[in-house]
Amino acid sequence: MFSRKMLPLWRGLVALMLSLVILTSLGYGIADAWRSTVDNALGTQSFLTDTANIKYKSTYKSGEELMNAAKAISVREGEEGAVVMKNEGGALPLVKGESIALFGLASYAPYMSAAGNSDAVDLVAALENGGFALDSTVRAFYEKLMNKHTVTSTHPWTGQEVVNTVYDMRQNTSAGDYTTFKIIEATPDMWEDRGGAASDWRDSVTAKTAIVTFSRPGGEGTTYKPYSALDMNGNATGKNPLALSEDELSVVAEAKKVCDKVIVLLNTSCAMEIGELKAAKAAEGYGVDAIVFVGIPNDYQFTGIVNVLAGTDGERFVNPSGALADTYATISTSSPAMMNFGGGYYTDYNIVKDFDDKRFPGVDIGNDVTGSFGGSASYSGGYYIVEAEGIYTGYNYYETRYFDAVMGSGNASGSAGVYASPDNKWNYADEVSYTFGHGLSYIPYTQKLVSVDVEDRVGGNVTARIELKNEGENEGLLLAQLYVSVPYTDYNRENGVEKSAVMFLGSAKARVGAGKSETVTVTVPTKYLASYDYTNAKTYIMDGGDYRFTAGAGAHEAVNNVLAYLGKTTADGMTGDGDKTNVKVWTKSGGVDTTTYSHSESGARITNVADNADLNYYLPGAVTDLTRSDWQGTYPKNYNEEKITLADSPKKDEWLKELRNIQYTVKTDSPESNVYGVAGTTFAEITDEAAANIDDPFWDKLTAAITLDEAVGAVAHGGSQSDTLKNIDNPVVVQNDGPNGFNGKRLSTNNGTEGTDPYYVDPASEAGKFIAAVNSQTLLGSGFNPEVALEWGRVLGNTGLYIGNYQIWGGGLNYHRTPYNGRNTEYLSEDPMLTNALGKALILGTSEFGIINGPKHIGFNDQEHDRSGICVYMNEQKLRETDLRAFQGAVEDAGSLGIMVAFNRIGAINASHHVGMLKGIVRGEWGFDGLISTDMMNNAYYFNPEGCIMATVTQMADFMGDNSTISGGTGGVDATWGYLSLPVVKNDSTLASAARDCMKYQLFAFARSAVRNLTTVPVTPWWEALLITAIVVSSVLSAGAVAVYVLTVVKSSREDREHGVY
Amino acid sequence: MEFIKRQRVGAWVTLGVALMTIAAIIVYCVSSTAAGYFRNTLSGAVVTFGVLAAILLLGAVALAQLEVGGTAGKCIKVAADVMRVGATLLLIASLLMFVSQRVEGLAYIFGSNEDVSAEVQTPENLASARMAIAGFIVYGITWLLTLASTFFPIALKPNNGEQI
Repeated sequence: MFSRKMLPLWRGLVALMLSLVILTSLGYGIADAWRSTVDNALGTQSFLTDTANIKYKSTYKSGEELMNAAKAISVREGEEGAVVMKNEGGALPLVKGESIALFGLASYAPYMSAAGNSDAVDLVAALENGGFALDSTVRAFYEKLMNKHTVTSTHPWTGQEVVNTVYDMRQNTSAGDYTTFKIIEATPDMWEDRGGAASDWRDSVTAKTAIVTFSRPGGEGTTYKPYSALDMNGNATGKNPLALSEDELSVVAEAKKVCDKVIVLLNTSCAMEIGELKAAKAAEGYGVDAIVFVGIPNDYQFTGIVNVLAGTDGERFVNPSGALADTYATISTSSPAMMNFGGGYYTDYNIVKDFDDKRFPGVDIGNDVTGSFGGSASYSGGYYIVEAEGIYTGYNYYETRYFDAVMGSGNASGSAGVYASPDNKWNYADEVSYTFGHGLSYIPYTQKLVSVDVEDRVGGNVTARIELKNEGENEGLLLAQLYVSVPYTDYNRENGVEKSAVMFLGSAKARVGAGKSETVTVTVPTKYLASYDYTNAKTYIMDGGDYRFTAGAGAHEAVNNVLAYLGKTTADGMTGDGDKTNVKVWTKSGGVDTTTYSHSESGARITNVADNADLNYYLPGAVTDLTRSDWQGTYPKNYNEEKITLADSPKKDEWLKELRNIQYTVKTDSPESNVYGVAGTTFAEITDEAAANIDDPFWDKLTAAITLDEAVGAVAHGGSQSDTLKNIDNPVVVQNDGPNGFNGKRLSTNNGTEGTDPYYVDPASEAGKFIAAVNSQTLLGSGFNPEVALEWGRVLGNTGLYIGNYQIWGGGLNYHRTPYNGRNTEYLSEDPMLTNALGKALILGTSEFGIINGPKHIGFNDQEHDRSGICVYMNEQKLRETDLRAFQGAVEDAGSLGIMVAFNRIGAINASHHVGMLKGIVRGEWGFDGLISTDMMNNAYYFNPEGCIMATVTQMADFMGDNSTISGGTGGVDATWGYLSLPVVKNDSTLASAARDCMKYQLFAFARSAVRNLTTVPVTPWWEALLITAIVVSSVLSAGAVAVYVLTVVKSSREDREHGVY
Repeated sequence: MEFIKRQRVGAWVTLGVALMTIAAIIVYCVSSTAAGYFRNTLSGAVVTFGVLAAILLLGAVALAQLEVGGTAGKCIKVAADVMRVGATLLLIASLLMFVSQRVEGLAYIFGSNEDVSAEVQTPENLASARMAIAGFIVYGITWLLTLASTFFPIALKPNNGEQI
């Protein structure tokens, strides 16, 4: 054994065993860092959750009840969100049991945002379930040419078999990243060539009604590019991707030839160009009988949509009550916002990188666009857009310009912004196909504003009562919409305060019996009538004058009511008569009121916090914002064609600093006294008093217990899960992402013991396999019903309790600045106030069950193209009254416990570093004291912990697990930001204090949620036990191998000496 | 000629893996600097460990050629063994550091959902990912061969035929 000849064997074994020690030890380190991912992949858990003391209880007695509720709300979203845009000759509802000829690739494979449940219902299934027969001739050739089949592949990571459904031909399902968009549609010649239809197939079609579905996809990381459409052969058509292609129109034409009625379904979150379809149905042309918006359904919404098409769910009359959450312009690029979209580089963007960045010595940091998922080292500050349209997005533009055109003011009928009007004179009827809030009802009904009460104070409300009168023969759900036209004064004109001619305030629905009336109440905080004056008063103002409230089926009807009230008629250019009796006026006396709304409900003084979000801050006079006082003269230029040059700025150094993402520099001369934490106070000691008041002294004691390493580290590495901090023993809180609901989580996830866990769901049961991520944001938006949002929020909250997941990014609340953002799929509407109301209801519903639901992504995620750093310039009125207002209902009014920040910049500053927006507005003015997360931390040169901490961000979304420390990298520095370490940050008491404040916000949010009474106990999953065992065994074997090697060397040397060999 | 005859399989394998180590370092450097997701991710530690491993391997082969007897010879023999084992350990550590650096990016590139796969799976990012995987393979094979080589002697001592 100890023979010299054995030495190579022992040497080899030493190498092998020590290699195994390193392999298992470092491998364990990697697995530990990605613990939550490993657990998810292997179905294991690294901690046990004790939910016995959670004060929040589910309202559902079983997983099956919860599953049924989730399915029911999904169907309701379909019923209430489907929008009948056109219904010529009463084409809808369909005749019971009639045969339908389904045309269009998207009819057979709609674009869906699906949870993935096995009983998901697509359009075909929903129609069949609804008792409709599908014409077999048409179906046969579509199914043949599409050839839906499965392909099996091997997962690159797990090696498991993956079965994917694919088609030989399907419509385009990705909008791409601001690139060309190929519109794929099977044209009539293909039906024969590829579908195998007989030449006389038309004679075989027995269906009298055709349904044609057209889709436009959306989703994360996608942005449509104007004028980028390609035909199926890849040839540029010069048309917009949201316009119907010739191929698509050829399907409509053929359907019209074959069937008596043609109904088009729009399967999209991005308002399409459908002027051809809107035209009156005639033998020639593409006018169809009916158009129905169906949004982007999830697993069950198609059932509700078909109920609308059928006018019945089999038991009761189903009336369409949805309304368009977006304006359908004749040309989708015709809004002033589209003048500045997509972005482009500053002429001298590379001067940003001409900089010796002491934070990253030796790293070649660029300033290029990094792509949605980061990757290369870049300051990511080379691209910009200028949102010079101000508040005039969506209907706020079209309806206000229409109002001014009728009133003869503001040069509204000029040539600027003309896309579809003849004679180069802007004309509403030519420019707009269907307006915001438009939606037809099968039941004839009226909505009459009965009364309006305005409490003119901060914290006050506008309370409107609207009578819904059913003039039909069926009971059904009716929609009421409240609008207001606020005074546009000389003060406004002089100071650049913009006002929309009508503003949506709120909506409500009621089920009203045939011939009966119901009165609904819409309540809206009065603060939303105020406008932000960023130039003079530098706060919210409310002008004296008449505030004209009205109810109407859409923004256009509302504006017509106001115009009629002002004495205008079709003779003045109105598109139709308004109802002047449907206007109630509240008059605010005096001139401009600059004081009442200059303080928020939290008592904070409201004033400018984002002057530097305006490009004019850096380059005075560079930008002219659109004003309704001169549409013609101020219609936005494309500021990416204007050649913006950084070096031209008198504030060049400040500008470059912001673009280099240096919003805060860690101090070196302000030592922090509490470095290692004053242990003694733990999370479990939270009292009811402390949980109700963030100013309770308990919170300072608790956060003082956190080590500085962990206080900074927990922010820097706070994604995926919030870790246990060693001195305070807080529970682990795992995050989930998705406006659709808890992604990928079956109701049996996190099961406890059967019989003792109240939320145990049999994994083998239908409920146990059910994934409750079944919301559809698009249909929630077009449903216009806060009650549905509230109910969905409750289902979301109950789901969180069942699956033991207490934090979710479960509400997409950015407004649709344009139809070109692919991410619109996750957001509700072009209108901030509709989003505001629905977001508020959603959060209230979720919060009832103690689930932290953080809406996302606050701060102008207006496009996905270069989302990871694009500079979004705007004035402060736009900042406050568009995207932030969309979030304000959820955050300020509903008191959400969390929020996620957008990727992009506000002006030149990373939104997650933006002290003005986050600390000033969100926390200061709105009184938000919950947790704030960045979006995906995909670029260490764009995001940095010190910038986030000073902006009160509490978690940076990396995707690792238990890593709340800034000493986890080589040499004891931070693993991502090597310039940060405990020895560095302990010299900055300001940063230390701010980091502990961030932890205070985070833990306070936990204290007000189901997490408060939660305890998590670390356990060792099998993979961890295996790795630890392997480390121990390989270490022991290594020691043995080394010992044997040494003994062999010694023994062979002794033998050599004994044999006289030296 | 005598020199060549004295070499054992361990010598050739060790020299081969020393060259492979250099190749692995090059692949790693290209992976860390080429256009794509992993551009600008060069880690000094991975390169240093690789270079040290190559030096140790070459050093071990060189030491094995020394015609030194007695205690000094024994020490050289042990030193050569330590160098070969050390190189093996440096290589496995390099591989794991390399993997650790790439896990998140590879998860983005290959694990993103369908909505964004077109956005993430750009030709540059895919090339970057494939280069990383190629690097893992090169490092892995190099480590395995180095490990295997430690089971074999490098050379015979000219004076007594002892294997080193």
